[in-house]
Amino acid sequence: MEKQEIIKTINAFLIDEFELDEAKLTPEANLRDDLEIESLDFVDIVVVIEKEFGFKVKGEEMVNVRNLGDLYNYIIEKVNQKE
Amino acid sequence: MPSWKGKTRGGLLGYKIFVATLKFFGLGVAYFILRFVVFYFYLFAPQSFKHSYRFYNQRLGLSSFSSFFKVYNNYYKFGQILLDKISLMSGFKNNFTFNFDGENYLHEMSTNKTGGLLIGAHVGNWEIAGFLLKRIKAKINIVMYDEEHQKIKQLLDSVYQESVVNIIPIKNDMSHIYTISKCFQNNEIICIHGDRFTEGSKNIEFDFLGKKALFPTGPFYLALKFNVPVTYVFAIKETNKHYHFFATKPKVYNFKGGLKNRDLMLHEMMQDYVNELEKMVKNNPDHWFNFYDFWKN
Repeated sequence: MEKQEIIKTINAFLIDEFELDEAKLTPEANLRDDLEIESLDFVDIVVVIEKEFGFKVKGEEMVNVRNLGDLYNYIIEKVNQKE
Repeated sequence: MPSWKGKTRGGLLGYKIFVATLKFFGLGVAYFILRFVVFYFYLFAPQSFKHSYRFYNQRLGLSSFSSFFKVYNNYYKFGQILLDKISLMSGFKNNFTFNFDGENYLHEMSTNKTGGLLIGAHVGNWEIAGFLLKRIKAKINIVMYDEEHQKIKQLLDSVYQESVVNIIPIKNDMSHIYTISKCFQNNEIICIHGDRFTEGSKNIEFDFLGKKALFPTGPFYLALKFNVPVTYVFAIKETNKHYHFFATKPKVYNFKGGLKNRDLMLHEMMQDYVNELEKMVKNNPDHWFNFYDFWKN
């Protein structure tokens, strides 16, 4: 799966679920401070990741995900491992 | 910013003495010994004394003289409730009684198979309610910090009987969120406190007892996120052997998503909670168990 495709899928979910402005979705955007996504929202994010990208997310792996770029990279790495 | 680190005060030896006293002599003797222990903390825990004193003097408007006495009563009530909890959870002989305003709401959560969220506060001790409410036919889970000193934890675990409530410890890896999610899927009841947060948590400021104070959004967001009925609950120790539980009428907030909508709904929910909490604290000032500067921000 292409990197751009992964980014597009994640961004589409964030816009749809949280009504976020697309311009805010930069790799540097902090999930909590800039996008106002709370830890509870990770339940939904994990569901989407598992459904769209076909791998199981472990809670401890998400601890270091602080900004959107971290999230993209985490998914890209996992998808590459799977392939 | 005021926050709580997850550990309460008290040494292992103290706990051992109290557990043995409860086991062999009962609550009356334990309460008597508690008087002296409380007096020690009254004299030698200046930080918590300062915060409790200010609570009575500045927030509740009591005189300096009354506030001094109230702090002692406050510590004593706190100690009594800890002893009650150990006694109940260990199955030591006791004859606690209780009455419950709003018990039917919890039965409805069970019979209607909706599950629900019970949001309490560090006012009284809702954990005790879990052990006295065996007649509610739903699994009860309490979400709490689990950072007590390991040796104290081991001691208490060794005397506690099999619990009728399930403790869900709050962890840094957020695994508790997935556990909570599963509990709601099984229509279980979750209890959590709504008046205390740790560093990094999102919070909203409200007028509380005449001054702005911060409250965490996390517990309230649970009800929105999982679309479950939410009720605000309190457990007050009215006499040595009698507890009075309160639960407000449950409300389901039909959250449709979106950050703006989320913030509006959170504000509405939390205002309801703060109003209930304020009423409860004014009626039961000895039961305020937040021993830090709650209003500092």
